[in-house]
Amino acid sequence: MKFRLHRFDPESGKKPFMQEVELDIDPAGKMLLDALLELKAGDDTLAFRRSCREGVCGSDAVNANGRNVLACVTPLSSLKEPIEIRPLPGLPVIRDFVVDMEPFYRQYRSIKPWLINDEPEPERERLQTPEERAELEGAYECILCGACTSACPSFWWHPDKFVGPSGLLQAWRFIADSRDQATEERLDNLEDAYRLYRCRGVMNCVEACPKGLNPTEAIGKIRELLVKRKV
Amino acid sequence: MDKRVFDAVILGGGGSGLRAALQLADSGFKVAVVSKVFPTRSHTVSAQGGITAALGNVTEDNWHWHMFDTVKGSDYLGDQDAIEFMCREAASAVYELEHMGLPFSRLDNGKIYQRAFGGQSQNFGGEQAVRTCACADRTGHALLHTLYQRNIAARTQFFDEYYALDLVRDAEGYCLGLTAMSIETGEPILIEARATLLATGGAGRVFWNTSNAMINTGDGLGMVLRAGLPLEDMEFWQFHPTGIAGVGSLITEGVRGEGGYLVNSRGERFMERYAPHARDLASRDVVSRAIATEIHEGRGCGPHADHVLLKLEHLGEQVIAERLPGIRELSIRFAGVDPVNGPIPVAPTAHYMMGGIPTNLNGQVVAPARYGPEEPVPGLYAVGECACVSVHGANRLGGNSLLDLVVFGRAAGRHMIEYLTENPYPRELPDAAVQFGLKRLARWSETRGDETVDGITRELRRLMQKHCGVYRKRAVLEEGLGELAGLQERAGKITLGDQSRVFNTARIEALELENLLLVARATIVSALAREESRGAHSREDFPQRDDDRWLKHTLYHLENDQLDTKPVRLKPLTVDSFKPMARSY
Amino acid sequence: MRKPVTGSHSGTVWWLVQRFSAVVLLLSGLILWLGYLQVPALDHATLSALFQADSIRLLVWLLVASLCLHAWVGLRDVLMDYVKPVSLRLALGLLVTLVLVLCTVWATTILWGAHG
Repeated sequence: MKFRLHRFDPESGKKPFMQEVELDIDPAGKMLLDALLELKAGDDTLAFRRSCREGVCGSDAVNANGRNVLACVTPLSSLKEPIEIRPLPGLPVIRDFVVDMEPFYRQYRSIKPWLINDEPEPERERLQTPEERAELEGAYECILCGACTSACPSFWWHPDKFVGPSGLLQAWRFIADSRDQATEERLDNLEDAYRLYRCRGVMNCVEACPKGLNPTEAIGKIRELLVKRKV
Repeated sequence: MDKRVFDAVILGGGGSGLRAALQLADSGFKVAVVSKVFPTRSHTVSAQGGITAALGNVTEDNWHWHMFDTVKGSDYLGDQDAIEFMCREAASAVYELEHMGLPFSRLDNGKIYQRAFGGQSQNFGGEQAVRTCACADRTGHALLHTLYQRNIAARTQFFDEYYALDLVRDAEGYCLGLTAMSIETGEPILIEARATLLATGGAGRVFWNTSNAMINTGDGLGMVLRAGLPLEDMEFWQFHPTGIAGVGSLITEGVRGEGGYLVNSRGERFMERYAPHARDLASRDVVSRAIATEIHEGRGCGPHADHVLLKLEHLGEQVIAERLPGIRELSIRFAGVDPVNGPIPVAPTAHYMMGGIPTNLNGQVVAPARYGPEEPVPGLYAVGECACVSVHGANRLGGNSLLDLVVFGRAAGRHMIEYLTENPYPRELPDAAVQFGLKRLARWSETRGDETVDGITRELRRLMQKHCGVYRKRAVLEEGLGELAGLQERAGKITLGDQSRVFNTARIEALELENLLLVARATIVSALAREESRGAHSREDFPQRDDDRWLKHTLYHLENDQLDTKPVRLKPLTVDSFKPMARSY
Repeated sequence: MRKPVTGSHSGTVWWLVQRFSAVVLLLSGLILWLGYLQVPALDHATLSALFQADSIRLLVWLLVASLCLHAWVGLRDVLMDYVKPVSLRLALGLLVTLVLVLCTVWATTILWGAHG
């Protein structure tokens, strides 16, 4: 199979370039990550992140043929040759396919991603009905791979100010939790003109999410609450 | 070299490391978590089925029954004081996670959802118990993210993508921190701390067929061996019965807990023959051996008759979508089967290391020294899969791993606080100890021979699969040990093509390979020594459990492959001891 | 490190303004268009006569005003996204505001000033 790989090593002094390589691999039943591992076996200078290799840890998000995907759950056979692999867009490139995720993580931290409940803790569990728990479906499953946020033009323009789809989905995860008591504070945090309202509803995030989550819908639900308390 | 000073340093950002870090950070200590991946990429994230605690939300239950099941599941090799401690602490540890925000699935009455898992019983071996608390089939993901979130709130200092090289110890044996390198810049760093906790997880990557993440390379185990400390019970590796055939990815035991079952090529529910009472919910070692036997005797499925089938269509789409959505996704992606319509092809896959760094109830690393076989190493702790307390003995029960992480993560955190209070000032740092780790790093800048990291790693994993799998025997193990020696020698001739300092993953993989080779050696030597079959360790040449000779733990030392033993702690903390009995399900 | 400072003003208010102005724009436009279909011949006399009615004037004024308001929010978004230097963004923002306010004022004088 033919590949075009984004190569960049800041130590080499060379500018980033696209490397054409051929790999003898049968795509049947194999994922993109299998191909990357084979490529690395032949050339150990190829740098990328990987861990669980089954789509739950979120390490190996890359841009393949223009789409953000998780390499370990993207069938090789689904990709048109030459397969062009680049790092996630909109984030500083460290090397080859490795990007600096810090702007993404910073936005994640900015929404206070932890349960806030100041009531005394009961000896047993706090009760939550299955219906209340169902509100968290589609939000708590986020694996922080960054595929959505780095596909979002609003995040490209405002990585420092716009929370981005992943962070907003996580904000919703806590707003939606019946056990969380900081909804007002969380809404205040998203009230300004940038942090949520830069979302233009392009829905790149929905297309990019490897877990099939829908950040745009979550953003809509948060906005609904923001509007409700305004009018 | 850059030097940073903390009260405590924790190596590993998985469940146990983060639980311990939280204990320290919430108590006002300066704590650093060093992890070679961003913490939520740690392997805890892959845990599916749940965390076991006798909450009694579904069936009547108490911790003592849980303790009995765990002792029996361990094939009586587990230390009963540690098991009592874990089972007693289980409920509070789970409630605490719920209070932290872990989004457990819920029962209609609003309580935490619990499901049946293998090896669980009521009344000391009676009816099936329903004891494993679950967040759909993503419990590990939910647990890890919750703990990470709490650590952000507690302002824990994270060193993400730093790879640890070695422990720093002084002449008196005190652990004073560790040396590491930034993966992004290649710069080494010394992290000085009065207490060091190893939470580096397992090493399933020594096997060809494994459910483990690619990062599970036993880094903490290698560090401990190089520091001259032993590893305990390294012959015990759990092969999970239901890995996706040919891929290794895990299909949780929760599938069988929800009512799924295994069939062979004749469509026969073969577990009825091996475990007439518990059937598909027998202990993991029992089910794995049953599958291996079915395949060996020609009743496997598929063109190569190399797997069996896990049926769950009868559960219906709603139950599968609600309780096992992650499994469905994995199965569609990696086996090409939607379990709503057809059975999942499964085979045993290396899953969990019961052995590891010997510790006591407080997570303190213990080693034979002047006054006995279990002297704490001052300032050094270990928890989670890399540690051997030992609560899992010869075979871990499903759902006890996540529990082990949080119970002993918390216990270690508590004890570290005590230790830090008693030892308020740092000790002098000997330069030679610091250089030890740096030399290890420097060696990989030299050109040596024409071997590659990838080549040796593949051979190692094949070797372990072939010589040290579900069934073992002397001749095969000895042959494996010989081949391993050859591989270790050839590993000295590896040349790294990548000499960049920036995000050099080739160098990380080389350092990981060093640790994998040590883990493999410890495993084979220990497996050769244990001439009995117990739990996950099945010797064809010694098919019976031998309590007279082997009701004890092995201790492997790197120096001369020396193998010692120490007794199993049969006396619990407060209750009566469970005497070893024949183990049937 | 440069601290990211986000806008202090409410995002919700302006989001609402944008939606609200769009609705007014749509409704007034629709009514005028339907009315236009009723007009038999489009000459100066007819139009002058029509614009004697305050209701028509008000509708046209609403159309222009909501258009300007809607355009202001939209252009502000464009400036926020693409013009990074604060001073330039402020200057352009002022310019846009000025032009749009003038347009509205102008429309008002046309509608009510001519026959006054």
